[in-house]
Amino acid sequence: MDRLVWIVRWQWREYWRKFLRARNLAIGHQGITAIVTVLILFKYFRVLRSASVDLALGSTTLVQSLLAGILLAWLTLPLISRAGISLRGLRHLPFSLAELLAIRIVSLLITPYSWIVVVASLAICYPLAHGTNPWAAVTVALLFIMMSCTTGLAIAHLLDVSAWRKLLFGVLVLLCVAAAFVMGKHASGFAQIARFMPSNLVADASIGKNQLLAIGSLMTLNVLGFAALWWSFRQSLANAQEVRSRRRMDSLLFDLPGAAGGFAAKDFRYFRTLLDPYFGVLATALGCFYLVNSNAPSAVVPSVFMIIIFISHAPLAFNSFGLDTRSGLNRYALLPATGATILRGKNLAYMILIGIQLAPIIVLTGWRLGLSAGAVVLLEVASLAGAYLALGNWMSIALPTKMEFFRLAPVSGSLPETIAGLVLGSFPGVLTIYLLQTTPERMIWLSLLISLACVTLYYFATILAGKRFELKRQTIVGSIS
Amino acid sequence: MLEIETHNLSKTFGGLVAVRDLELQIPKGTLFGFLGPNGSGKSTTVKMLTGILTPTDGEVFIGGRSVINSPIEVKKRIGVLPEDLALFDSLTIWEHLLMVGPVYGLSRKETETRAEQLLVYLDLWQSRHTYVDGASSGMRKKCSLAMALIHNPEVLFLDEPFEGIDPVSSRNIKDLLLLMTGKGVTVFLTSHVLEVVERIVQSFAIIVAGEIVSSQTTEETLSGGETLEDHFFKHVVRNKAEELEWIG
Repeated sequence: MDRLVWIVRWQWREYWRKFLRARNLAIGHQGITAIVTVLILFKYFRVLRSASVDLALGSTTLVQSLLAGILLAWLTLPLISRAGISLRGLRHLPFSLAELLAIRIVSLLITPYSWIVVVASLAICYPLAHGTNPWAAVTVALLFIMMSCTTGLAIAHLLDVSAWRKLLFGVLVLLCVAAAFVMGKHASGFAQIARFMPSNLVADASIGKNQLLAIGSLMTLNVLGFAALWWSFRQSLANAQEVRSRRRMDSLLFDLPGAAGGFAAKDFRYFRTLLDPYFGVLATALGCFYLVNSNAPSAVVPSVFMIIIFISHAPLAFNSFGLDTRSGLNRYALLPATGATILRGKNLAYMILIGIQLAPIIVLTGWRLGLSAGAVVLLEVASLAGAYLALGNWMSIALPTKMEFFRLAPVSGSLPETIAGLVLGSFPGVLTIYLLQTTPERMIWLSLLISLACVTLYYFATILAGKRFELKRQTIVGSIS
Repeated sequence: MLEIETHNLSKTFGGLVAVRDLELQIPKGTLFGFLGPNGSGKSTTVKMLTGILTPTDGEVFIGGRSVINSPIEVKKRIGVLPEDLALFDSLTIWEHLLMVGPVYGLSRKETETRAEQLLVYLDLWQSRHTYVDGASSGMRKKCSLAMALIHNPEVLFLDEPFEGIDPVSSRNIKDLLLLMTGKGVTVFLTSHVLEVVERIVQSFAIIVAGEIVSSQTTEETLSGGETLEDHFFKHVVRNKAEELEWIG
């Protein structure tokens, strides 16, 4: 036990040292992030009060939503938090698998984000205590939180294994298709199934319904969750020792001409390992579903989906050096390539990845709404890409932050700049939607004008950013190391 | 004709002087050894010579061009095997070569031809589709070496090229370096393997605590009746193992 505490203490020290080394606790605008977090928590506690009133009146809808939010938070927490000292490194020390797993679980709770999730999760007991059977409800809620935590960790571990990543993605797609089918054709059947979801079981138990079923189900889910966690942890550690090889697929991108082509191929490989772009895949699927099934599709809806897809890819544009390493950045410095060439390689990779997702919507828009509508959407893509990449190249150099493969990525090292980037980057899309509703007859020419302005902005911004990259390379190395 | 030339080259990190007033004049076609203990400033010097690190003071010229003023032009003419190998974890050995070839202006076909020949020569052909994060340290080093060679550089900088390399590849690398210097390529290498250095380099310098303490040709050293190792330890202090009384 002492050894575990010792290691966790060092992990704690390693995590906070980055602030001490920078001699700035407000690094990356942590102060503003903290204020925003406090405001969100304040709002959350007010909602909890409303939930307790609802529960006293026998309504569980709000509590169910809050519990679903808690589950989502625990599922995403292991995907965004980063343990300071790698478990791969600890494998060389005399620790058993159980000890390593204990270190993994405790290290999840080192970051301030995790404290917020823990506090918010435990606070759900407040409204539950106002139900008809508080003790049963609180017990079930604690079981629910434990289950959420173990499930989140198990999924994070499985994402480290190539075969499991593919399988999980397949299962996610199947679940989405099944949910869309059931909701569309058999809404009452969906409601029946939803009754047995863990969050609904907890909410029902709080008003005295199906308490034994809830306790039994959640205990079973916890046992399964721990078993899955143990097994997935072993898998992820074993996977770290595998020698991987590759002979096909995105290697074809190495055929792209020019110096930027090779960089683009490399960055495409990196970018597609992040989880964020897969939200874009879901948005594309929804957009296509709408365009195919709607009797009279609106011209505005494809534009909205374009903005959503660009937002889901924001980390790739705003933090394009986040997946690079000190070694990789040194290679950039050794090669006779300008900063602008390196940035264009990254931008090309970004456009290939996002283009694959945008293409079906553009084609379907042209098919359902006419060629001019398709052209407007295409020009909107050019405008959004120009704006996002012009801002993104500047932010990638000014505010880089470390990203990890197969995890959700931080958009940038600073919250205010991230929000500003999202607002400004999406502005051409919002402007397109506004113009679609006010002056639809002149849309093509206005879109062309907007896209020309954005592409010109991108061109000059990238030249400047390239020069800045050459000067700031060492700073970026420090930020992502 | 001088290929590598430095004047008063210095680098300080905060208060720490890593390299002080370094003067180097290395003629074209020389195989030059740069020796010194760990932390003496060898890798810092290589980084400054290859344009990775900006000197605090002084100048560097490669083939008459300033590294500080014309970094891209200089980088086109040099090949570098850096200390950290500068590889991308999620690319295979083969993809690394495909990526850098066009950056040096090689066509895809020429890149593939040269990459294949280099990988066969360095005994990497069978494992060319291995990701470098799963490759052994020797394979990673040979991959980085192949990247340094693919564009046929005029000057080659090698930081510890023989460390972690198997004997066959090590011999192949030595042969290749001798062949290249015979054809007029200048090679600047750092190494701790003094026996190997003694056999292949024509001249060398020893750096200790950021300053050059000795610089001469190998012939001068050997004709004086001492080995390179003897000469090295005249300038570098060694600690005694007996001081670790608790061991054994």
